[in-house]
Amino acid sequence: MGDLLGNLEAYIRTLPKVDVRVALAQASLAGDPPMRADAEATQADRDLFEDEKVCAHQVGVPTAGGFTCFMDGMQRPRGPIYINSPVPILYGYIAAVIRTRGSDKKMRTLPGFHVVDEALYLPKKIAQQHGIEISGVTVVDTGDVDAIEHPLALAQAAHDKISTVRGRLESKIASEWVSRPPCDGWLLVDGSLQADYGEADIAGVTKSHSTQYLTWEEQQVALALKPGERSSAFVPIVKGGRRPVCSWYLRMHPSEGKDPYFGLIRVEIPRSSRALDMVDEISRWLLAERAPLSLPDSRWDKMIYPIRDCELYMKSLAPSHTSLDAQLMRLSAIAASE
Amino acid sequence: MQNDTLPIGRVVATEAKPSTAYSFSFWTADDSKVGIGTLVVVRTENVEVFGVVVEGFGFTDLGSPLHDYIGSEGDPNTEPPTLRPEIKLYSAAVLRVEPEEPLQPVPVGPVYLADDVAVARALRMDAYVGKSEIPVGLYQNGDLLSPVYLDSEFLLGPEAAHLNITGVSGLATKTSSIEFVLQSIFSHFREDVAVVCFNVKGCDMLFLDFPASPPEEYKYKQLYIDNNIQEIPVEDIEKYDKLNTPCQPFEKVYYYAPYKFDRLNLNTLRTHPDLIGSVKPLSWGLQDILEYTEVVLNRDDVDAKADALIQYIRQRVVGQISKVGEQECEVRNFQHLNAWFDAVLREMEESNRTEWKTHHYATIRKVFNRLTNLSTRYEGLISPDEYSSDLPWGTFEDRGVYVIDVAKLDAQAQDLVFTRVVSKLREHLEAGNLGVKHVIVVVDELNKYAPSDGQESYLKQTLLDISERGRYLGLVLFSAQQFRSQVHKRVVGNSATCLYGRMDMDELATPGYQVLTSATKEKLATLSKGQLMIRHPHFNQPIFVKFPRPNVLRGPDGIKMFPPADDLPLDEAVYRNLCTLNPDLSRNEIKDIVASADDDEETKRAMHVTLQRRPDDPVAYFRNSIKKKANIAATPDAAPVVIQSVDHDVDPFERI
Repeated sequence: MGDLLGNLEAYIRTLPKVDVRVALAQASLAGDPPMRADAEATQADRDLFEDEKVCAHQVGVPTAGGFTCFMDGMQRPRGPIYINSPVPILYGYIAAVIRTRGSDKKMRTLPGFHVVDEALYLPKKIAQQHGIEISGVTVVDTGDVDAIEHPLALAQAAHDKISTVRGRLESKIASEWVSRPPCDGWLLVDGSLQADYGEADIAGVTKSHSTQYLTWEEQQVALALKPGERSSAFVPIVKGGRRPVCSWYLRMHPSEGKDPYFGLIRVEIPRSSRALDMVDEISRWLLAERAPLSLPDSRWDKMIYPIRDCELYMKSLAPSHTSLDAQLMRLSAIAASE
Repeated sequence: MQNDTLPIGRVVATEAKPSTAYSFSFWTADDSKVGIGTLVVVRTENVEVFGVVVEGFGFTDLGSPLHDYIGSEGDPNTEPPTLRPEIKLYSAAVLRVEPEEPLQPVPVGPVYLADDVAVARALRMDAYVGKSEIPVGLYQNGDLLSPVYLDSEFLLGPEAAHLNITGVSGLATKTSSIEFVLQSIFSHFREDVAVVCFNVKGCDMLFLDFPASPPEEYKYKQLYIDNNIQEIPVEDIEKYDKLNTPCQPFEKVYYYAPYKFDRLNLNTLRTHPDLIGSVKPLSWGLQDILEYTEVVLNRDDVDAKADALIQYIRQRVVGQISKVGEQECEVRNFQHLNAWFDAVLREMEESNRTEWKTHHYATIRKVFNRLTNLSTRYEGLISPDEYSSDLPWGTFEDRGVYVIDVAKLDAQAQDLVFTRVVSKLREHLEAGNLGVKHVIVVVDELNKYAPSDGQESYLKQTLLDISERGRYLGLVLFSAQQFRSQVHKRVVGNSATCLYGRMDMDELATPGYQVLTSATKEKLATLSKGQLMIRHPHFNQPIFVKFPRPNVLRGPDGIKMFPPADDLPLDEAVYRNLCTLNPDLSRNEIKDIVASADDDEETKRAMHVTLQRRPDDPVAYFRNSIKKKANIAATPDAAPVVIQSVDHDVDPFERI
């Protein structure tokens, strides 16, 4: 990790007049604030990939062994920081990792597959209008969207940008893995597949169900799935475009008496020629990953343990909220000291 | 395989469990060879911290056992595809920090195993190695074995002294470790030193002069093979090499044992014909024990009046010519003392007086009863005649081991032996005429002899005295017991060096062990043979070491090879005893002399006189001693009380 905030401090000290304000956001219980997309429900469409109508399938006895690599990403935004203007500047730390499970069942990081990125996120054009031209640090422009000149809207745009960059980072290392798989077995990524991976051995698991692909009647079938059952496979359609994946719902844990989404995940694999043949087998692999449980993570019903392992690994190496906040507070103290 | 130059762990500090100046935590790789007692070094750019592992923790990210149960569907045969990461986290206590100032919390940094040099620095041994080091064992760090040294100035004085060892019985750790430390002292201590061992039970210390592993040409080699005696293992011999200590038995060992009641056969298990010649009798006469009457008499017996009379007898009667009325007496043994008392009481009765020299008749009668009874009560140890066979006061040998076998004596006789021997040692060390400057007194079963509760005894007082004042004199106590908590606090408290073998959990639960972590206690409860925990003034934390088995024949093996002989009949016993003066004596000649004597007691007396005088011609002297008695011709050697008429008007004690 570079000394981005240190360099920012050095830059601020070069300014003739300094008025730095820092808003320290509280960390969420899960550790990091959720992405906006996670919170908003949207309706999409689908093409059925099998069956004439959505129905439940027994996938068979869980069998371990198919997945050998696991990928996850993280983001840690802090701020915003205001330097002599109401333009919000966000600090963003993002990381992605692929961890592999050896024959000893222990998780290790694949060499070269842990990447981090640290940058300041701000709308460059608007910032320049307010005389802010930060040098000496990595800056990501958040102004490529039509944002209104409102600090809160600009801050949200920065948050969204951080999520986007994180997605790109994950996509990048997933593509690297696919282009030259370092080991046998499948790669399981946390979230949707971001690209067309052709015939590659890669699968994605989505825990959030904010985007609904099935019709209301079809949803009843998915929500009524029992443990070890999956829905019919379908092709998600987003904004009119068929995504290059084959997807299905899978119930990991019984949900009686609980939220209907409890233990329900959506799986994606590349829409390859063998995709349909793999649906049940991959479902069985996933069911086998129910142990060990990912507790105490609150998403344990949908999160498989190796993904939690990836998350813990990245968090252990990320700068802590406390140290980041301390560095940001130093920035706000500059004005007071001068 | 670990590379010794690579870190084996990293210090971690959290708000909940921060590092302090005296403790820190670190995690290690799964395959690291760290365990409880391991010495480690934290090295950063500015500071080196030496520590010893005192506690270990292993855990995963599992929040509750229930989570694992649920994840396994309640089936223990389930094997999850992924193993949770398991951390091994250790707590270490700081032994030393360099530089020592400023004393700050241990920094976060890499942790290394301590090598030989680091071990020496961690335990502050660099201050005395080369000057006063005594190897005590090997500290094992992974595959490394590093010597651990005690400082003789803190083991044998004058800075501090005494060694105490605690451990359960049956593992031979206590006796073995003391034997090894003694051997180590003999080969490394730079001043002269002797050892007085009290063999208080069985045959523990009766074969210190025999090797466990005999050399090829050894006289008894075949006997070792026949009895399947376990030799010193090769790894133990390597330990001796590492500790630069010779793997050999003690060279100069002298055994002492009292006689049995028959005053012919020695009261010891070392009575095999091949060995009995090396055991000297321990026998004291009236003059030897009179100053210890408070030990041998019941405390209730010796009131102020009785004590005054005893002091009078000591100062004015024994060993000199005194007068009772008109009679002149010379008292040199119990027989003479009996006659003296007879004379005093007779005179009082004849003159119808109730007091004699201010002593009341009843007091005299009481002291008479008690004193004259001693040679009967302590028969075998206290001689009725003036025969005395004692330790070589004044001519103790450097590196000599003097073993006094009191195992078969009753508690009161043991009390007398301990008290007198230690008193004499102290007396001679104070006068500087013992023959050596330092004496180590070895006592086992301290629970029994210096208990934390129970009645005060002279032996307990003696042990307290050694432990509190001995180091100034060069008198050092090496003691052992099974339960340290049951030993008088001042005895163990004054012991600067403490060794701990395998301990009983009940004992570890007593308050004296509260300073130890639960992991250290667990380790103490499971120590195997040859392992010890050491506390020494230079080490600010207990250290675990391994020590080699001493190359000394174990007591039970010795008994197997040299079974004790049956008690000998009078003639044979006399012959054997006199052979200690000259092994070429004729058995028949001695037996003829014994057969010609009228009285067995007289034969024994003559034998003792001969043994004491050590004449050039023992047979002739022995014969003459018997003849003289037969002719009732008093000799200076066996003079009975001589009673002569004296002037009644002269009272030699009138000043009293």
